[in-house]
Amino acid sequence: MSLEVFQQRILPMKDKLYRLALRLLLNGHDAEDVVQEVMIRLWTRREEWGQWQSLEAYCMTAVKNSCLDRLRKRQLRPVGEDGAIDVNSHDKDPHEKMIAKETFIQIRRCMDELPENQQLVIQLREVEGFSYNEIAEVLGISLDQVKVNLFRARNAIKKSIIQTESSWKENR
Amino acid sequence: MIYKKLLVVLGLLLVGAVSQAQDDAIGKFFGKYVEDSRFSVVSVSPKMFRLLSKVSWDTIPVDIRQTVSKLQSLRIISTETTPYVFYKEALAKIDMKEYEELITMRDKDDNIRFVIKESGGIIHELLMIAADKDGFTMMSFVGDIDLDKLARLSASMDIKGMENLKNAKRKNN
Amino acid sequence: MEREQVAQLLERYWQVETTVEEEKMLAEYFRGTDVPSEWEPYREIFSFYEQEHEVRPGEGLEERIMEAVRPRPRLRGAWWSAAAVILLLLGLEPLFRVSEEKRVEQRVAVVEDTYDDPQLALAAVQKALLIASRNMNKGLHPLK
Repeated sequence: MSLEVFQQRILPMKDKLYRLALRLLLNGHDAEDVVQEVMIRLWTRREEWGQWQSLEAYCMTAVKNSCLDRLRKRQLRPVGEDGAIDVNSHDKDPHEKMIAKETFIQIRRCMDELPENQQLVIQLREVEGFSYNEIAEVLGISLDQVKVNLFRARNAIKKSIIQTESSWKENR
Repeated sequence: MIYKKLLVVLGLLLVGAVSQAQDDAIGKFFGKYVEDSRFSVVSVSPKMFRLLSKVSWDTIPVDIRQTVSKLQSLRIISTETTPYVFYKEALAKIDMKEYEELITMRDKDDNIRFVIKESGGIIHELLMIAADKDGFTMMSFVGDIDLDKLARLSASMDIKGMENLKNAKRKNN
Repeated sequence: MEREQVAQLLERYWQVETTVEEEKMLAEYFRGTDVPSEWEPYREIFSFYEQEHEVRPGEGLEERIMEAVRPRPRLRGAWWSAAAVILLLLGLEPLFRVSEEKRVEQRVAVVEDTYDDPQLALAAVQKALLIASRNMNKGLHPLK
């Protein structure tokens, strides 16, 4: 019975969990490892499934925490707006296969430079379509903080893409 | 698909008539436990043994090479669960009209028995059943077996040196 | 959607006042072809998120997870019995002298080969021989 629940409800979450891990770790293999770990851990705790409000929130949070642990150990990823940031650290990037549009590269670069919570809010809202409450739960912040982060992130991205576009138009 | 079904039907009709396959001691054990996840199974078929001649023999000692060249099959089934229980069960499955007892040893921890199938002066099968507190193993060699040579093998090779064989990757079934 | 409507939604979007449904509507709009050039950048943004949503993990991930959750039995029953049946049929050759090798094949081919690679098979055979040999010696010279 648990196995069915796992296969039908939990396993399908692996895609969005992977995307979240990828946003934080910037490495496809590591992201897969984290998702694998979290799902297996989840399976071993199947007795507790009934107790959790939202399996999805639990999984996303677990992946987030696991990634942050890895990052702390890695000590590669710089924090925040200050300091030089190596945006070419998209090692083994599944994005390679996708359209290498100049604009997309620009947007991703902009996202990479945002503070962590802003990145995560964008990921959860824009890419995964989570509600503010869900985002607040996964990130462990208040509703207001979610909105503030989203505001800043959206406008940062907007600014960055408009600047790029206009600079191109000037160069034509 | 249909061909497969036809074979199955014919097979069922023939079950009474032909009884060659699956009847030997280890075969019975395989039959019972092959799907049981507590058990590990290794099988090297006659076909694979023929392919072995194409492998690089440079680093292999002569005795081993000679022994392997006369083998036709290897089957192993083992488990870490309740080793002594399975040891008894395995022994019970050996039809002593077909096999002859060769070596039996029992001490505090080890239970070991070797039986053989012999005909026309040739030992066709060597069957080992062993159990200690860590696990139970049943191992069958089929071919033309030289017992003296086999016994001498472990003297010439250090088994510790072979421990890295444990890392040989297995095919996923 | 009317351009006027979109303009309003966009304004609210930047102010973080839109609902998930409204954002979906915006995404839908920007998927269309009739987007004025001054909104091109916004189209890029929504398009980017959509592409991000299509990112998937590699093929093997699901398998690896399921392998740990429910390890598959080592040998598949159906294949095994089909092979056994074929061999039962082969056994129906009463008129021919079945060669020694074939007899062995009939007897032992109950189980699929564990290894694809002869090198690995050889390693396993060697190890097995040594284990058997060691145990034989244990039996013959228990006090050693």
